Amino acid sequence: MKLSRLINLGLGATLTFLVINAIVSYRNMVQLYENERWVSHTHQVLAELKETLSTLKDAETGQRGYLLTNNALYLEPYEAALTRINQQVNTLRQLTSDNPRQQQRIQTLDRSITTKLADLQRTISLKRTQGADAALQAVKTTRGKQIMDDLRRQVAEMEAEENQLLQQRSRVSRSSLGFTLLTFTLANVTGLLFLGLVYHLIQRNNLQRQRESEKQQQLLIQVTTSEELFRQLTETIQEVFWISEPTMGDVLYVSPAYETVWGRSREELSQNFLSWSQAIHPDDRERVGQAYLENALKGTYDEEYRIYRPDGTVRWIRDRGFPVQKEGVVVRITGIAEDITDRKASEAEIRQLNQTLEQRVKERTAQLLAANQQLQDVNDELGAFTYSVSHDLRAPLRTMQGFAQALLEDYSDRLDDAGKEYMGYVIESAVQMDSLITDLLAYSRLSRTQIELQPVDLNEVVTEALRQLKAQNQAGHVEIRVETPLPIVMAQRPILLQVLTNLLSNAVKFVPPSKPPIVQVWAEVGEPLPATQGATPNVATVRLSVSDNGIGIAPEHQDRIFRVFERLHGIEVYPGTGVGLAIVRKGVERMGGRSGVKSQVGQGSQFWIELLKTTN
Amino acid sequence: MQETILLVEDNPRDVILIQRAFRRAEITVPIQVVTDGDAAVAYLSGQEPYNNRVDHPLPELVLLDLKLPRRSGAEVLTWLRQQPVIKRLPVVVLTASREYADLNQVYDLGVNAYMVKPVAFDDLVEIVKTLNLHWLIFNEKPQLGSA
Repeated sequence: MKLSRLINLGLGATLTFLVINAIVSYRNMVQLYENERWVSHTHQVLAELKETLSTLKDAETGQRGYLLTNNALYLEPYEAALTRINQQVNTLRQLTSDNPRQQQRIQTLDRSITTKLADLQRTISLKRTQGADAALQAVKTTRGKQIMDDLRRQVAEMEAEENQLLQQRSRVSRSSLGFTLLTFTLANVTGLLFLGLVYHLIQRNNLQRQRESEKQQQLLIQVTTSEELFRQLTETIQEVFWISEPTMGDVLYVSPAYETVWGRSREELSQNFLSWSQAIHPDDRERVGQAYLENALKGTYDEEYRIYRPDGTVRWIRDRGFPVQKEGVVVRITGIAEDITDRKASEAEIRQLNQTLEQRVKERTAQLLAANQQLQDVNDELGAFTYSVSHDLRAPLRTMQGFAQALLEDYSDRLDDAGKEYMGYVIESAVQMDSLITDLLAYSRLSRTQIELQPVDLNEVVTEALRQLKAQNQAGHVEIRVETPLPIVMAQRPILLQVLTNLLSNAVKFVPPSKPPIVQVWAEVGEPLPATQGATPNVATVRLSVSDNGIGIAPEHQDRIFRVFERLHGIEVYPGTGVGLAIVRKGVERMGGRSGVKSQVGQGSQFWIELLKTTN
Repeated sequence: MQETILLVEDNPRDVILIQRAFRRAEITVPIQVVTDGDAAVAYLSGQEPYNNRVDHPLPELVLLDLKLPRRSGAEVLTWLRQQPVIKRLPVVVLTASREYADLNQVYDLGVNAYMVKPVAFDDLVEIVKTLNLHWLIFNEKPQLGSA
């Protein structure tokens, strides 16, 4: 049962109770009142009876008094009583008018009272007329007393009746009161209970209402949020959202973006849903219509077509549709239409570029091939040049040297000292030039040679270099200490040999004449190489050092000396071509390593090369 | 057979110097000189004007320069190593170039030794002495003309 009905019922019940309670209480009250009235009435009767008796007694007392004293003063109460007694009897008659028994008794009483009074009067009259003794005689007859006793008896009877009545009524009154209280309490308690129940029900109802209200509130919020989301979605996204009817294609909803993309108002569309398709390019219209009919329900509707804006511009549209199913039936088609004009333009551009790309690639390749060919040609020329230098430059030198020497030897008697000296210079120059050519060729070869690094045993190469030096008479009185064993490095043997030969030759050469040269050769772990082209990062290296106790090199020259043709001394001081260290640097570089020098003037030099360690 | 050296060299000054070096080294072996590749081939094959083997005997050793007119040293060598009779003739290339292209190519063609002509005359004398000792004195000469 609905709470509100319950509440209403409850309230009704409570009301009824209250009304019943009121009525009952009222009646009880009335009853009580009546009862009380009768009780007080009875009290009144009793009081009156007493008064009546009292009056009679007063009368008797008066009579007796007079009889005794003969003072008329004592007759005052008797006189008063006479007057009063009738009143009192009437009052009694009135008061007990409802009680027939009492009425009868009052009649009897009245007669008795009359008798009594008559008696008293007789006695009094006797007194007056016959004197006190006659009166006393009358009194002694006890008639008076008998009547009085009778009176007393009657009154007592009446009193008893009235008392009975009183008791009765009091009892009734009490029980009536009790009843009243009971019903009153009961009704009130029940009423309160009902009230309590109703209150409870009302609370429940309120709670329910509250909950419902909250739920509604939530729903409202949800709906509002939903709506807001929807609105935000459709108002900001540039693609056109649409919902249409599945069979005829009536557009039920279109998002605001329609106005931007189609250039038409939504209102116009809602009035005439055909304006959507009217905007489509005539060439595409049929295809699109067909596609929609065939595919929309299946969910495969995906068409690209052109539309005309009212201002005449053409836009490419990609239109897709998705069926909305309810219980297996398609009730709506939702869709999205994007403006893909830019994308189409890009695609066209890309296609164009692709077409020209092929062409350009061909052109570029041809260019590269030509450039490559050119480089190849240059390289070949260089090779030819070197070859020719090797052969042709040397020949005149041989002639110069050979014949100068021949002159010196064969015609020494005809040459004076100066002449001999001059020839000497010629010979020296030829030899010098030969060294130069050799070194230059070596340097040039270094740049062009294919490098294939192999593991090379340093011990062996150093030994070979030393042997070559000795053969050339260069390592005469030199102490060369090699710290064996030396490690294996990745190198190209001939180049490494050349490098070492040059280093050792320098070490031996550049000493002051006073000092016997001491050369030390040792190897240690080198700085890992940073990532450079062709070398993997942090490759371990071996640093080979050749140190001497020679003349040393000032810091400002320490970089120069590695360049081609750089010498720090004249030819006559220390022989050399100025290419030796350039060969060292270039050779080591081509083998993937680095070279350098640590030196101080007068303190000797430590030349070092770092080569790649073997990987195992 | 009398010992003869065939020197194939186009540069006349080099010829003079080489001869001088031989004299300095006190080597008395006669030296026949041809100055171009074709002449070398003609000499070795006994063609005119070298058909007189008394005046122009077959040599024990050929000193071959590589850069020659008419036919290069490499070509001469190629030709020689194809000759059925004289293909085993010892050939020492004596040239200015130390270029690897020359060196390896020539070894592939079957040269017996490769020496570089030094600029310093004294070095030339040393080489000549060594050539004499090695090729003419100590070396076991191959048989020519047999299988």
